[in-house]
Parts: sequence; C-alpha cells; structure tokens
Amino acid sequence: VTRALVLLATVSLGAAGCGHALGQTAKTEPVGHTRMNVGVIAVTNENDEARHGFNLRNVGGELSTRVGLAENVDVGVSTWIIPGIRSDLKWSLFDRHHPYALALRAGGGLAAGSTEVVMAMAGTIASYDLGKIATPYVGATFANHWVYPGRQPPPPRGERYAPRAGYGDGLLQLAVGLQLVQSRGAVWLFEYQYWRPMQNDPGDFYKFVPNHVAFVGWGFCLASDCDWF
Amino acid sequence: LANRPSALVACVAILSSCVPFDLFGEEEIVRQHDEGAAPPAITDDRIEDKHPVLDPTLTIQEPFGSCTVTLNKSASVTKLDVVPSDGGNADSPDVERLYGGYAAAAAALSGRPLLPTMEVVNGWLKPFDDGLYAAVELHAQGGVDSAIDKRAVLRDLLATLIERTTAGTVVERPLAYEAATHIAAASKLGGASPIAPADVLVAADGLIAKFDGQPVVSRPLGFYGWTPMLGAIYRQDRFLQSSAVVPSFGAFAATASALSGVPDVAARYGAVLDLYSGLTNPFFHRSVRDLMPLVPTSSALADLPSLETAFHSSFPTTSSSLPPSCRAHLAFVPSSDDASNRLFRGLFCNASIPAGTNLIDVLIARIRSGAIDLTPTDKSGWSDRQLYALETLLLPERAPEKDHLFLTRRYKEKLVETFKTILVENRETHVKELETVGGGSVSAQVEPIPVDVYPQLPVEPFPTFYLRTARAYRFVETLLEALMGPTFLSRSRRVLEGGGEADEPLANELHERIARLYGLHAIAAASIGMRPQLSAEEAADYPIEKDVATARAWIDGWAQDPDVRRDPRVIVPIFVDHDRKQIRYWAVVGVRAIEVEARFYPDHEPQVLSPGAYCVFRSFVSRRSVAFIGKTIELSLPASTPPPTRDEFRAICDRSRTAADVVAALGGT
Repeated sequence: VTRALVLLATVSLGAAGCGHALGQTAKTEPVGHTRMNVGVIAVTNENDEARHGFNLRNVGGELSTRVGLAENVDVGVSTWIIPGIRSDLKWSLFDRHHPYALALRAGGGLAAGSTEVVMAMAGTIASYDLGKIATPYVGATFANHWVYPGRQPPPPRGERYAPRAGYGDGLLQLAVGLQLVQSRGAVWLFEYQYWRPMQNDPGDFYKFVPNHVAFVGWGFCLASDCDWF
Repeated sequence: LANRPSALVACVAILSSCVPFDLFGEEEIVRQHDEGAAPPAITDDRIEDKHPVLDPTLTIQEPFGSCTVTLNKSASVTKLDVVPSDGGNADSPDVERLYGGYAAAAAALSGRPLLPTMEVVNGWLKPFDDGLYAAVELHAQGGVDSAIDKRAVLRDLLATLIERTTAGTVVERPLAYEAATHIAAASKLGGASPIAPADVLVAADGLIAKFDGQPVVSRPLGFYGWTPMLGAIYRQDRFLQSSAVVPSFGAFAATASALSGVPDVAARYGAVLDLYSGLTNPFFHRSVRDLMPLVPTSSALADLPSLETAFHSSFPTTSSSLPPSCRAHLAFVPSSDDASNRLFRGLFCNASIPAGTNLIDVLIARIRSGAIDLTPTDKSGWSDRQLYALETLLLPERAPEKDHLFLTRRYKEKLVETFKTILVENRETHVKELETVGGGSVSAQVEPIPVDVYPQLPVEPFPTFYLRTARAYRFVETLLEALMGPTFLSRSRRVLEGGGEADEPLANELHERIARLYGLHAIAAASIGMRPQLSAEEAADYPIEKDVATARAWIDGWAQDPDVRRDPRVIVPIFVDHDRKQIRYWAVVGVRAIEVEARFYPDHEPQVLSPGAYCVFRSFVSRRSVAFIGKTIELSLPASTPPPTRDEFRAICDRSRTAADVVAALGGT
C-alpha cells in the first residue's frame, strides 16, 4: 500500500495539481508523521459566462503532503499551478491534546509556465475538535502574487504600458472547512474559500477577480497510523 | 488503493489536471500616455513588425503589358518611398514648382505614370463638400424643401420678443428689447426685412455697424463668397454666434424665457442648433437652449444675479473666474468646436504662443503622441469624422493595412503633408461654424513574354482613409434626412463655385460619392493584398462590385473630373493671437509633384500563381510614379487686415512663384 501511495504521490507531484486548497486544520502533524491529501477543487467567478460557462477548466486536482518537523511545527508541500510548487510552514500555538487549536502559517510558491508567478503568503487557522469525529476549521490567508507574463506586443505608438508598481496582486483567502474522520487512516475534507482581491499591480498584465473555491478531498497517512486529534 | 489499478489511474488523471492560473482573474492591459510627451520620431517601418497572413483564396489578376498575371498578395508587403529630389535629372519632377491645381499638374506631367493620391481624392470631394454645405445653408435659410427654416425661426422669435417688450414684466421688457435688437440685426444681415418697431430697427443698424467693424468675424470666407445669399447667411450666423457683438446675460435670459412660452419656436430653434452640431460639430459655447431650463417663466428674470450664478454652476466652463479666452460664452447659435480648437484653447488661451510655434505642427505632434484621441463619439459631427479619416495618415501603424505596407520615413513625411492639406481644405468648408480660436488582346507569339511584376497601385493604398471618409458621408446623409426632412436630399442640388447648381440632386451625388469611396477602399485594399473592410450593412447597401467599377472609371479619368479640376487653393483663419495682435491662418498655396517608388519588400513578395497565357514571370521590380501633394503654409496676418477671400488669395497665389512669395504678398509673416 505504501509503495502504491508513494508511487501515486510521485507521479502526481510530477504531473500536476493545483495547490489552491487549505486542506488542513490548525493542528500540526506529529513529528515524523507524513500526511497526504488528494482531492478536487472547483472554481467559479464572474468571468465564467464569458468563458462559455462553468466547464472542465474550472475543475482541477489537488495533491499535497505535510510532514511533522517538531512539536507543533510541520511543513507542507504541494504542486501549485502547473508547473510549480508551493510550501508552507505551520506553527500551532497550543498543545495538540486540546480540542481547540490556533496556528500561524507562512510560505510561498513559484510557478514557471508561460506566465511566471512568485507567491508569498501568511495566515492563520483556527479549529476545534468535536469529539473524535469532526473538526471544523476556518482560515484567513493573505497571498501576494508577482506575475510575470510572457512577452507582450509593443503598445500602440504614443502609448506605453503602465509600469510595474512592484507590490504585486494581493488576495485575501478566507476559508471555512470540515474534516470528518473516516477511519484511523483516513479523513474526508470539505472546504469553501472566498478569495477577495486586495491590491492590483497595474503593470503586470493580470488582475485577480473575486473567486469562490470549493474543495473535496481525502486525507491519509503514510507509513503509520494517523493521529488526527 | 494498491489493489485497484484503475482507481490509481483515475486519481492520477484527476490530479494531473489543474485550474489554470488565468481562470482566477483576467488579462489587464493598462496603457498610459503623457499629455506633454514628444511624438515618436518619424522613422522607416521595421519589417519585423509586419505580419501579413496568407489567405490562399485572395487572388487578384493584374495586367502587366500584354500579360495578365494572377497574384496572391495577401502575405506580401508593399514598400512605399518618396524618391529624393534630383534636380539634375530631367526625368525627376520639379518638387519646388507649384501648380494651381491637380489637373494642371497632371497635364504638365502627362506621359508619366500618375498615382492618384489622397489629395487628389479630396480635391474631388472638396467642391462637393462645399456645394453640399452651401445647399444646406440655402435651403435651411429659406425653408425650401427643408424642415428647417432659419429665417422663419428668427422672424417668429423676433415677434415673440417684441411682444414681451410691451406685455412682459417690468424687469423683462428692457431685456427683451435688447434681445430683439440682436435678432432684428441678424435677420437684416441674413437678407430679411424684419417686422419690428422703428426704434428696434435703428438699434439693430447700430449693432450691424459694430459687427461690420470686425471684418475678421463678419467678412464671408470660403464658399460663402460664391453668392450674395451665402454671404448674407454667413454674416447672419456669425452675428448669432455672439462673439463680435455681445448681448447681455439678461438679453439671453429674456430670450430663453420667451422661447419657453412658445414651444413650437423653441423646437424649431433647437433643430437649427442640432443641424450645425451635426453638420460641423457640437459646441463649446452655450446656447439659449441651455439656459431655458433655468428660465421657465419670466418671473425667473426678477433675480438676474442668482440666475447667472445658477447658470455658471450648471455650466462651469462659463465661469467668470476663467480667463475670457478660455471661457465658454452664451450665444444665440454657438460656433462649433473641434479637436484643434480644444487643443489650442487648452494650450494658449491663457498663455502666449511661444515664438516660432507652428500650430498645425503642434496639432500633428499631439495626435502622433497619442495625447489626442480622434475617435468619434455618438455626438461627433461631420468635421470630427473627417478628421478621424485623416488620423490614419499620422498613425498608419494603427490601420488595418499596417501589415501590408512598409512606409519609409520619407513617405511618412509625405503623409504628414497630406494630412495638412486635407485638414486645411476640410476646415475651410466649415469656416463659418468652426470658431477661430483666440490588358490587351492575347499575343500570338510562341516565345513566352517575360513579365516583371511590381506593386500596381491604382490609387494611393490607404484603404482606411477612404472607408472612414465614406462613413463620414453616410453620417451626413443620415443627419440631413433626419433634420432637413426626407425630401431635402432628393429635391436639392449642391451649389457650384460661381453660383450655379449641379445637374444631379444631392441624394444622387451623395450616394455616388459614398459608393465611389467604398470602391476606392476596396481597390486600395486589393492592391496591397487585403479584403474590403465593409460591414455587412455597408456591403448590403452598397454592393462592392458595383462600387469598384464606379471607382475604376473615376481613376481612369480623374484628371478630367470637373471637381478635381477646380482650384484647391484656400486660406482659413485658425487662431487669434491677442498678444501679437495677429491672426494665424492655414493655407493651401498650390500643388506639388513628387516621385513615389513602390516595390515589394524583399522576402515579402506576393505569390505569382499564374503569369498569364504565353507569359513567364521574370522578376519583381520597383515602380516609380508621380504623385501630387498639396503645399500648405501657416502664416500670421495683422488682426487689422481683413481676412482674404478665396478669390483674393488665389489671385495672390497666381502672381507668386513660391510659398514665401505668397506670404510676402499677403503682408504676412
């Protein structure tokens, strides 16, 4: 099983994945434990109609893994956009045996397709264990993106493109989710995010619009039993 | 999962997809331009910027001697250059020589290949424009075959005002009296015999004398010198523009009050405003119609200072805090505005023109730098639409034909001259309304005939210019049908220089011009490997094959066209330079001949699909032809000098050898 899952992770990481889901509670993975999430996200926004409605382009895969580094500290890695990678470090502020948890996280991402994107993020997650079954969680993350599109055609004569302001395109990502235990080895994740643009660099040829992001995922542990709570 | 390979594959497939980054947002292109930015230097085009796309279905047959060659030019690039003047070469035209017209120049250079330039096309259009405008003026003045009758509007307004001088409130009476004297004066200037008390008519004579003391405003220019009636209309309407003899605010308010009480007259007055707003351009200054909502009844006249404050609040450009020459004023029928007036007002209304500044070059620099956008709006009049057609000469890189034409620096400089010439000619048509601011048979030979292929340019290849000009005429057609009535165009004929009338009704001539311009557009487009850019509606209204045939017939005989043979030399006042007590003029002083070379850009030649029967393709070569362009000048005359009429100006041109001689003979600098 382990070999199969490692194979899955390796292939998927090498292939694709979006990395847009939060997919975690405020609790960190125990030291040495490795957890993986696989799932599907769906995105909708005001431009759907102009893009021939909600279609397969609005749906994508999600794959991420988290490893416990120290007591109350873990690190996550996921594919991001295509081809790219995203990583975040999470520090849980309370002992993991409490039902409540509050964590701070920070990280970044790098994608290098036809459009290159550099991302830095910081945020917080709060969660509460309801018995040994469910853990609702909320998160707020500010993710700032520096977008570098491919070569643009020259502007019309007499005009110039607005210069890059440098502050990038900022998104406030608000998340609400629920982690449901399936077994000792697996959980289900249901999550909704609202992304609100906070700043826009006029010189990067890109502008975020408000987005609604839904995620359904399945989490499982590698090599050992999970300690979900 | 390890026991279920299919599930594994499914998972990998899902995970292999990703919502693309662009879905979370959208492309956003923010462009900027600097109002004060210098225009880019005029340079040769770059071939790497040309990206013509091959259209295998777009073929054209062109005669080269006895061979009819089938070409596909869709992926070709035609290079246009002006051959530098070579005074020592007897084959080169004398670029310094000024001709009195295009036909005269063509006759002098007969036997040489001639390229009908856009100046020639405009030389054909200009007499029509003048004649059309003159016909509208004459019909709108008297109401003959016209829904607009300016003389009747003035008569009825005068009667209403005179009635208010006796029946109005105490405050209203003197204001109505003052307004009545102005309307009576305008009526007299327009050739009418207004019915009014003797004292009103005497006062009106005093206003006329004051008006006549300002020949810069009152002297009929352009086509308005053709007939006494046109001259009378010019003087009447210039007077109603209320810049030479200025009524008080109270007089305008009393007129607004009077019009509020006679909705029929107010509606007919509004139609007059709409006519000039469309036939030339919308106004910068304000009309009495703008004042009417503030003066619904004569009781509003009781507190004139408050009324004036309310008016200035409603129309901030009329604020007395602005320098007088920057300020909009009230007028019975305001003059029209345009892009150049807006520019000059913005730059110089509160500042002196720097020494050595050439206004037309300032305008051109602003258009080329992108500081002025000439794209017409729904409210734009004919003048703005004519100017938009010219924009493509200064910004050829924005036109659809940009990928098919390689223009050298010298050719672009020629296009700037073309812009100047046509701008001045068009402006002169609107002189009253535009304010002065401050193959052969098949060969029997057995041996194939070698054929050299070069760009065949039946007309100067700028299809966008012809298309936009046709669309400007369609605007005029729609405007006149709406405002002058549905029968105006079919029953009226354009006025000819000298006073006669054209043989054909305006409707026919207008239709012919539009069709021929669409045809010229299609011919110009085909000559450089493009399809016509007509909309579906245009193509339905004007079948392109017929238009092309009409245009070809004109191209074959343009030098004999009576309108092209008319004298293109005109002069028009542009700007009052108060500091120097001078008036700036733009003038077209004659026609020059230049030599134009056209060749296919290397590696961007057309496909030779067939060299024709008994012919064999040999090479691509260049082709030189003579093109005629106008010679424009900008000059200043003392403000005390009456503006020269066309006849006076042309007589001076005839006596002068060079442009400098013309300026000197006019007493200008």
